[in-house]
Amino acid sequence: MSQSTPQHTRKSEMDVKIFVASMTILIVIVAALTVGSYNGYSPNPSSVALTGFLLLLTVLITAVWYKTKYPGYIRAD
Amino acid sequence: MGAVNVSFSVTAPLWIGIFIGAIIGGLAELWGISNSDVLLKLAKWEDRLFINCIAIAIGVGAILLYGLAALGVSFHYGVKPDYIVGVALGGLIFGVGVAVSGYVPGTEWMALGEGRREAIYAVFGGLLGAASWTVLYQTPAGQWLVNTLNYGSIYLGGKAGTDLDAGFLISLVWAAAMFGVAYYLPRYEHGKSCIYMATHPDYKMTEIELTIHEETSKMLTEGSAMPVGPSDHLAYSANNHWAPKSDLRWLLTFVGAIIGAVVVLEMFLHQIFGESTTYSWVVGYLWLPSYSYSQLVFKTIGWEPYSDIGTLLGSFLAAIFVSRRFQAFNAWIPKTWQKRFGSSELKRDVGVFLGSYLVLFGARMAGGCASGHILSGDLQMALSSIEFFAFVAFSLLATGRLLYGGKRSEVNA
Repeated sequence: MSQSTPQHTRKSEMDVKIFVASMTILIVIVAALTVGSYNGYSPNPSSVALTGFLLLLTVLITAVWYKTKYPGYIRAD
Repeated sequence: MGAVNVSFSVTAPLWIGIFIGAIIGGLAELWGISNSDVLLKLAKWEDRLFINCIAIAIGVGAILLYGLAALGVSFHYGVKPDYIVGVALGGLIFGVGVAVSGYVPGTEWMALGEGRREAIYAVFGGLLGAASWTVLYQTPAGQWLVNTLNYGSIYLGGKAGTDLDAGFLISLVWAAAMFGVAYYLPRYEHGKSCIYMATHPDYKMTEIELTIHEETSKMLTEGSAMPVGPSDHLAYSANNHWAPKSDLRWLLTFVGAIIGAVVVLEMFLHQIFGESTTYSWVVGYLWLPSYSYSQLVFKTIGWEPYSDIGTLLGSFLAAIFVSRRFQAFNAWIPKTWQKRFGSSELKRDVGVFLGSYLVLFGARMAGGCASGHILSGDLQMALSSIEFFAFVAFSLLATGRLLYGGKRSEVNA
């Protein structure tokens, strides 16, 4: 595996990683609160939709962050 | 065998499924199967990592499951009914779909977590495939498929959940066969299995092997939006995990064992691990709520939507924090596809959509997918899942040979 090129030196990613970690905790809390202690079958669609939406939003924001941080970088090796 | 009457039973809240899915999604991402090229290479019988790993998972899981069951621990079994015709036809369709798309239902969620653009088309194709089965199910043809030669939920020891002492003894033989496959089947031709690599750190790879391993490392990381710096040792190890001297070789070689144990834990807590029912559940709620198959899914689905969310989350976290393979939805086409069909992204997206359509249509017809049948089902030694796996293997390899021309010729030349 090749390392990053000089044009795309590895930068600090602390901020996005804190964001991802925080959102992960939030996603789990939202799922736990909205579905509660229900342990049967047929989950609440609103709970699944809200949890899934938060996760997809997190993935999208992270993608935008990386696109902005390393513009044009696509590892091609 | 004298059973100790422990009679210990648990049913966990549904949201716990997120953690189960995250463990499996994260480990499988590190393992590399969220990259569609891995399964496309399997279709060419060129890269057998999936077989290596799934065999370990099945072997470890079967012994754990039936060993604990024989001791009196209660499980939420999920042996799929064996309706011979529907399972066989579903398996054949599923195998064709995997050979075209490079995805199974679970890896579609993982790929989405890895920021792979083509996974978006895979998910939509999958939803359409699940919808097609929902419509077909209540027709005479659909009923014929699921009722003809239907022997119910049976495993190698008899009726599901019965004769567990015999089940444990059979699981020892079953696991020995699985471990044999995992140890002796080389990941690549001219090479050794991942277990062999991990247990022989002084093994020197042949020149051909080194070349293929280097190509695999590139395959896993190409398209990533995350540069790798000199301090990213973890990413380096993750992307070379099969190498004899990798720091992560033990963890990643035995990802299969961990996954097998997690599936057994999941069966203890709530239900088997499955990924494709969620597609039918989404389709049922959004478009086809009154259809009889949707009604059936609503009654039986359990925590699968949460474990699917967890699969996506685990893969996302592994890609960001460990492997640095997050693609941020960059343009990327798997090399195996590119060599055969060219570099048109539109053509690849159409291929992924259609392939995934077949994957989910076949999975729902057969009652399960790579997770519900091949992993959870074969771990339970379910006859339906053994049948499904056999038909998928035949169909996958036959389609792979037709589409991509079989094993790599450039290395053998």
